[in-house]
Amino acid sequence: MEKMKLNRMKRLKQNWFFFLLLFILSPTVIGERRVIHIEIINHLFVPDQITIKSGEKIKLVIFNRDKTPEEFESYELNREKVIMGGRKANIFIGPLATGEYPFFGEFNQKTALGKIIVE
Amino acid sequence: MLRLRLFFSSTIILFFTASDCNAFSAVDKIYHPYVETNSWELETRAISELDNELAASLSVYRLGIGKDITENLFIEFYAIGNKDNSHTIDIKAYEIEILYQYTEQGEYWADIGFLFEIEQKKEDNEWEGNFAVLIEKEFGKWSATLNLHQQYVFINDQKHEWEFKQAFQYRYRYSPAMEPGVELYVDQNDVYLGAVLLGGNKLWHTSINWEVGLLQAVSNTEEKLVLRMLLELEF
Repeated sequence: MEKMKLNRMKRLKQNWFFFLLLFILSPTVIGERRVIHIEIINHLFVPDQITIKSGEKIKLVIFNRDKTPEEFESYELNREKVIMGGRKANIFIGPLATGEYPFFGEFNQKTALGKIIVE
Repeated sequence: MLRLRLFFSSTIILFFTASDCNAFSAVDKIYHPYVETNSWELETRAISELDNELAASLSVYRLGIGKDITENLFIEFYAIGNKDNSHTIDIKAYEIEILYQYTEQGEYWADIGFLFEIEQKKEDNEWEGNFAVLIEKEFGKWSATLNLHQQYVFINDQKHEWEFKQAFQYRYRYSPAMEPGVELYVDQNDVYLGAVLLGGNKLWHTSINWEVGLLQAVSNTEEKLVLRMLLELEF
């Protein structure tokens, strides 16, 4: 009886794992996101200031036009991504509360600076 | 909202389906489903069981070196050693670990990654394979991470067994230098719950990350404390 109970518990754990796996891998329906394009030119973000609405979800498409890599970084946005020279990267942001969220280029911290203003 | 409920209810189910036993193999580290590109990583980890006088009676050490292979694939090699009261560290096993970032951070409801590990113990001809689903979700300045491990142990061509291990972390992103949090580790034998402190600093292009956690066994009548520490260099 005890053995049966243990087996049942073991099976429950196994099934639980695979059900969760199926759930994770199943297609997720998401709402439309506004796409905002930023370029990195001569170690500067262009534009360097973006205004979005509170609660809005956006997709930043960052095109690094420089030959050298740059790392988009922001602790406030909880994002960090290396963008190789001549390549694009997508960064998904939001929903955010009202405020200012600075970001910078890790490899050119004196020049590559920007912020997202959430109204 | 349904997914939010599922995320937390699954953690609670994990907590209550564990049974009693000993050993502290449940405690490790929390893996996040992200690959840091264009970098090398040097990592050292120590997990120690503390006795009544808070001295380490048994410790497991790991030393690893890793590198991203593609934008969403990271590979790391580890040497694993044990230290008991003899004060010498014996290399007991080697491990290869592959982390695959499945979704972009913030693109979907939660961020997903997968972890594959193969460990070979030097003695007993024991092999261990591990597959884990890594899930992370942001709640403003809070981050919740769930690791669901499924391990397959293979000893001497005779003993084969499946093992389950789950880990959960809830941390507050207070500042880059200091992030307090709580962690829960559950396997078929143990449940550990405790507090952790995480942090990091950047010096030029090198990141130094550290983690310290003190975890208490909550599934046993025997009181056991585990100290876990991690130091990581990314360059």
